[in-house]
Amino acid sequence: MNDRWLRREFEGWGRYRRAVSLAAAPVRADELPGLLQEASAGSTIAFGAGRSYGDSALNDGRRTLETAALDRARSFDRERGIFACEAGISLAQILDVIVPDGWFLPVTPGTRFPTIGGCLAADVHGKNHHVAGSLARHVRSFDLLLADGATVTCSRDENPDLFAATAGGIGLTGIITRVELQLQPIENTFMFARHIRTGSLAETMEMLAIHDEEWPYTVAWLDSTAGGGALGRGEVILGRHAALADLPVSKRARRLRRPEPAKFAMPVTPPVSLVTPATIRAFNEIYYRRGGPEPDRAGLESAYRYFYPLDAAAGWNRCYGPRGFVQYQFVVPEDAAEATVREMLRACQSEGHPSALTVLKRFGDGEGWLSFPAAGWTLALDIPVRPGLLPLLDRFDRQVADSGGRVYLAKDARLAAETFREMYPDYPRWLAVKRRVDPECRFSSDQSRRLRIDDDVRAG
Amino acid sequence: MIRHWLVVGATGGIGTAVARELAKRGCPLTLIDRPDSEHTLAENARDLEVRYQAEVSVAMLDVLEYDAHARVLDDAVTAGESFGVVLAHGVMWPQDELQRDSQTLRRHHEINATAPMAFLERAAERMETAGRGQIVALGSPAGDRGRRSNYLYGADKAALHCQLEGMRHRFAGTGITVTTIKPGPTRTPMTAGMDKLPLLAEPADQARRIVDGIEKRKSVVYTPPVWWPIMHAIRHLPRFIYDRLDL
Repeated sequence: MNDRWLRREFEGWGRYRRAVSLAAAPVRADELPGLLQEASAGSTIAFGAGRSYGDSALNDGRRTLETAALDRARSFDRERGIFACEAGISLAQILDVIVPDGWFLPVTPGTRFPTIGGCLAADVHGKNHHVAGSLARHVRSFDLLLADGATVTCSRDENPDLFAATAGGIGLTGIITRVELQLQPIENTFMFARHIRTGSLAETMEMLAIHDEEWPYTVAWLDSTAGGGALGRGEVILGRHAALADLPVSKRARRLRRPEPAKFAMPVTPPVSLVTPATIRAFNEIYYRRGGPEPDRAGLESAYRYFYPLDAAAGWNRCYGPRGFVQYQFVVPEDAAEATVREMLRACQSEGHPSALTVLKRFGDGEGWLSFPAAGWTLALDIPVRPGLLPLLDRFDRQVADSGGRVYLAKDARLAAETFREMYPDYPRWLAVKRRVDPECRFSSDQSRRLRIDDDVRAG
Repeated sequence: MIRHWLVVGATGGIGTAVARELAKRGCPLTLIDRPDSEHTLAENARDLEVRYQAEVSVAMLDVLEYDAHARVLDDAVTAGESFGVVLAHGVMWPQDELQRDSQTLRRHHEINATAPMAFLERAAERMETAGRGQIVALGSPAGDRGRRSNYLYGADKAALHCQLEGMRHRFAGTGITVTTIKPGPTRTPMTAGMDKLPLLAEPADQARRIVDGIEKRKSVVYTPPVWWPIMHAIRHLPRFIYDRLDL
């Protein structure tokens, strides 16, 4: 049945990395072992919703298994908030099912469109990382299809090493086919949020650190274009799920609302990027002032607008034009954080690569072996791809690695192999599991080849 | 709105999504598809039960077995019950093969047009008995005007459009309504490997608009709606211009 494999072009969400592979899109999970066998000794990677930014889910000239149609709900304990599903289901669809019964995702990234399998493979975090940890902490168990065609269940008790290697393992240990989640209860789909405008980086970081104690969700948006003493100014956004008592009577009748579809769509890619230093400056200036004269305001907001502001515009990544953008996200330990963030914001400005959207957050402790979150501060920069950007990011890598930090693999499109090894000290433990379950490296990606993970596996 | 819906082609890209949307709005469903999709049908039924606590039954039907149409309908629907049908099955094989091979063309047309037309006539008979019902079928903008790269698929859909239009005429003023859905290119197995298509719509978004149209008992639904002005313009282009366009 070779006609099940069709040639298709894939791109990462940043649209900077692309690949053409032979792709198959099974409609049932039990078709996967057969398709894997058809791929024989060649390399395969799972591709879900295409929301990893770089080349984690790309496999140029090789094979890709599209998992988005494997999106069925399998069981839902509405009393205890335990939801099991196939791994290709999107967070949006999970919310659609769980919200009416008063449940919410325990951890959510800034978009509701990735698949739950992709989220686990990236071990995603949210604005509540400092209290809730990353997604893996809330996964009770998952099923993993291994290179030999067998499916194994992994949890903290059952195959714990595969659990730790797969959460954050960026799709390289096998294909996640089922995930069982512990949800968190909510009384309504509103957030009580407080926005505090800050005037400098020191103030932004201080506000975040102070409020981490009492607020479950904290994050700061930074005005990437402000310089001098205002460098690192922005808005600290604090939030908690609203209690029923927080709601005015008018909102109580429909308090558990399902997510609504995107309001706008970017239907085409413009021939040149709409995100330029000039538009970035204008956007950041306007956004910084959006609260009007009030530097500290609090109130109710829709949970969807709070968690997923960019989801309102489908295909926003196309605004960056044909060359796309890179999201550079790193974490560095507490002691190095302020200096690192300051230097990077300054370097982006002085070298003419301003970040369109800049987000700062303090993490709690980390989980899996290749998981990104680790104690310290994380900064995410969305930078349009233009000549000169890559050398700048290489310099950032050096600085991050020297400070004992790391960059996020699910967003990475260009990290060097040696630097990766410095950044992820648990990589040898991960590699030992990979060698055991996939010695021929049947699961690999453009990223795993670029990071020379495949060479290490075969050398073992 | 009609409550009990039969979805034919319930494991297809749009059929799956439409079934989900109907279940979400509280409708009991009968999922119908080919015998070889029995396993997928069972999995989809379980999905709807878990997601929306929906009442779901399944039935196997090869639409080319014309004699089975009445039996499947009688099993799914009790006599006199008002029900709706969403016909969401169809194939789109490469146009060059259809041009070259008459048997392939015949089979393609039968799957997309003759067999579903017969099925809809059997369903309509039962709705007439009940005095109420709703017929919904997936046509296509491709059936609005013949285009060099897919006019044979378009011809199948044009046949279906004409039947639906005629049924709408036949049942005007009765409790039976007929809705023609014309979905633009959608991200489904049918369009897999055709990533050069513009504006691939997501099946869940399509399903929401389709079921909105069903609830309002619309006659024709273009989805996304932008296809209405596009096709309106294309349909009315003078031939001497149309023939020079590279569409």
